[in-house]
Amino acid sequence: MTQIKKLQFQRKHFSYPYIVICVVFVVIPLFILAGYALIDSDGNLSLSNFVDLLNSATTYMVFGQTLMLSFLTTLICLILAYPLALLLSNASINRSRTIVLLFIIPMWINFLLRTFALRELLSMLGLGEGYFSVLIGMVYDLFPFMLLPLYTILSGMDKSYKEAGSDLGASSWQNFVRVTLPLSVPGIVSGIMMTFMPALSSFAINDMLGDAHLFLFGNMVNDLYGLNMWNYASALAMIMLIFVGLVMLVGNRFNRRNIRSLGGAKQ
Amino acid sequence: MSTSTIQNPIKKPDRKDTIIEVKNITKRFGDMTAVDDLNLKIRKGEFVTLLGPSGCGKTTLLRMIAGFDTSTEGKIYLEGVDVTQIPPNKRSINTVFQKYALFPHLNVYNNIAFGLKLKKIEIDGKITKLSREVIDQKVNYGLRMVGLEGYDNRDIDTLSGGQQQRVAIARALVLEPKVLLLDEPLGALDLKMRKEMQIELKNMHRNLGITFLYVTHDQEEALTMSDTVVVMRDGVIQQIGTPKKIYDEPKNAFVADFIGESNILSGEMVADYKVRVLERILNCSDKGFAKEEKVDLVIRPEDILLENPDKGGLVGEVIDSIFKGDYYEMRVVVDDYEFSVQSVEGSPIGTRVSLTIRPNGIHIMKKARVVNKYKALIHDDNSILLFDEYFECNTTGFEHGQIVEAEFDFESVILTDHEADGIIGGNIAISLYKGNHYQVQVYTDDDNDIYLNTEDDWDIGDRVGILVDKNKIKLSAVVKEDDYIDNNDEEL
Repeated sequence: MTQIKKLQFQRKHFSYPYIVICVVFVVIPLFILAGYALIDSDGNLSLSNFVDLLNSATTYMVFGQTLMLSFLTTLICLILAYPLALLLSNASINRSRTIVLLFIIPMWINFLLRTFALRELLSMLGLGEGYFSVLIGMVYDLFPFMLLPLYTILSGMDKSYKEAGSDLGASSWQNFVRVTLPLSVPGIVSGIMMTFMPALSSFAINDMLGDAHLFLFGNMVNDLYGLNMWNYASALAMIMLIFVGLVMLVGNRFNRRNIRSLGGAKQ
Repeated sequence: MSTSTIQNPIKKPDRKDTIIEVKNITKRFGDMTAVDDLNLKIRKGEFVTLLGPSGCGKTTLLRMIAGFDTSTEGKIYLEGVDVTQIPPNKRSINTVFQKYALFPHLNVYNNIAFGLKLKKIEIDGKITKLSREVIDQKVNYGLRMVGLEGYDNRDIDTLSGGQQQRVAIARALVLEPKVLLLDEPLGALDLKMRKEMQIELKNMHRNLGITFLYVTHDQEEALTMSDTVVVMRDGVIQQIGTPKKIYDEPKNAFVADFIGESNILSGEMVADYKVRVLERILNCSDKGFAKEEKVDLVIRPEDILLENPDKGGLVGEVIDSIFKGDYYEMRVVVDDYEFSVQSVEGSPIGTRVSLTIRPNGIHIMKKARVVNKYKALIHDDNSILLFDEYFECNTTGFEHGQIVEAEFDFESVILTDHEADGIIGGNIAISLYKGNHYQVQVYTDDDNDIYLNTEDDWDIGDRVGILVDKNKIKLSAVVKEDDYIDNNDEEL
């Protein structure tokens, strides 16, 4: 009896490899990171790294620049992607789905290669390295992450909502403002999160397309590691981690409420 | 056009009373014709039901009246005004959707107020929106009407199906539309709830005087609620009439089979008021048929009396008897035909009985078709082109390329389980039990109907292969050749 029980393979056993992977590659590195962040230059356990960083004006400047760039990137992505997603969700326009594919294909190309190509293209157009080029590079890179969630929610939206809207007297515009837009909020929120998060931590695009004036959070972490100042770098990474975590928490809470009410009526 | 005078007993029906007129409406989706040259008039204040099996075009017709679909051909008039091209938001028609389509991001109050907030009215020559107070008042009236007082602030997803349905009805009715369209509104509710809502809807209709156009596939629902029932099939109206008339005098075998239970038999008229069926002559109440004309007979199970077998006539044996509470449901075999009989007094299984049917209990209907007949093209010495495929048959006496009429009877068609085993494929559209066999109608991919008799009961909607006995195809010359394509799917 006990013999048989031992041999039984349960569904939960499938999760063991993943748990091991998670522990080795996520949990342990996080502890190492936290460890470095909490050890000062003398090797003592202290919060001095954080105190130093939070007392430095550079940190706030870098943080402000990073937030601004990420915000602009996300905003431009949203403004560009929403009308496109709306257009593509119309089955009669997007019959072959080629346009969606065209916007996704760049994702299949190596990121560095893509950015170098963009640099060449921008310099051909007379745009040298600088803030504007970085912004273009960021939007170009993150656009699909905004488009996909918007496209998914808009194309999956039950068309009877729109019909009900116009049945009750709404013009196309009123229907958009009062029905389609509010119902697509979960897509907007996840699009914003999927664009904003990577934008916060990016540094490679700035390295390749930016000039010396723009210094991002990611650049700072990268440089500190390069200078062997691991403790400062780790503390900085922790600060970013906590900030990203907070943004996610707010976004998720907002989204869950919307998804719940959407799911309820679709039955 | 049949009308009812329940709402306006004083007024005589006249043209001015027509609120919706549908004129020669056709709707095609690609090759599929959903609504076929349909005409319908709906009188003000009437409760009209479009009834038919799924795919009969009833919902498409409703959607065209609402404005969600535009017709391929034909016109729709609302109070005499052509609204065919007018978008839904400009029509004084509101819809209760099948799945309610309540806005999940709004609460009950705001769902009902949705249309009111958009509404524009004229006060002293100025176009203004409704004031907050008026909207408030109307929403509360709507909530009261559907019995949901106090639910204003509830989220839609916290409501039960029946409550959501009520919100959907209130949302449409607060706008005081000229016509309320209801697309299978009770389909998602359980039986008890459905019965309750039927009564409530009927009461609302009576109290508000708004014209209701109701779509359903449930014949009982249609018969209980409507003033007028419109039975549809394949995008064509089969019959329009009061529920009683539709039930008592079905126009054809399809209507008879769809509305209530019935015994459908084939027979021939021998003279006025006399029909031959199962090799016996019965008295009936119909006349005006040609001598020996083949007809369908419909006999309702409750119109049959069971009597002593010594009486003669239709004598058979009870093979099944089930007590149903207020009546017995029995099956009686006469020769090889199985009659369904309902009676308050039951006869035990094995009893020999005589079936007596009063003349007005027998409904005689013209047969929709007695033979399959289509235009075809002679291909070579032993095949013809029919429904875009080659059918084997003897073509001697005809030239290659000649257009002919190919004719084959109901017995010469064979259905196969697998589409690939037949020459062409099709879907089972109708399967009518005729006692000793089934009369099946198959709908081919190129819009043709083929009728056949078979011993098997095929499931409606099943995909089948079709074969035709090559020796049974009779060809005859066609005089006119110009309308080969047009007439290909003509019902004969």
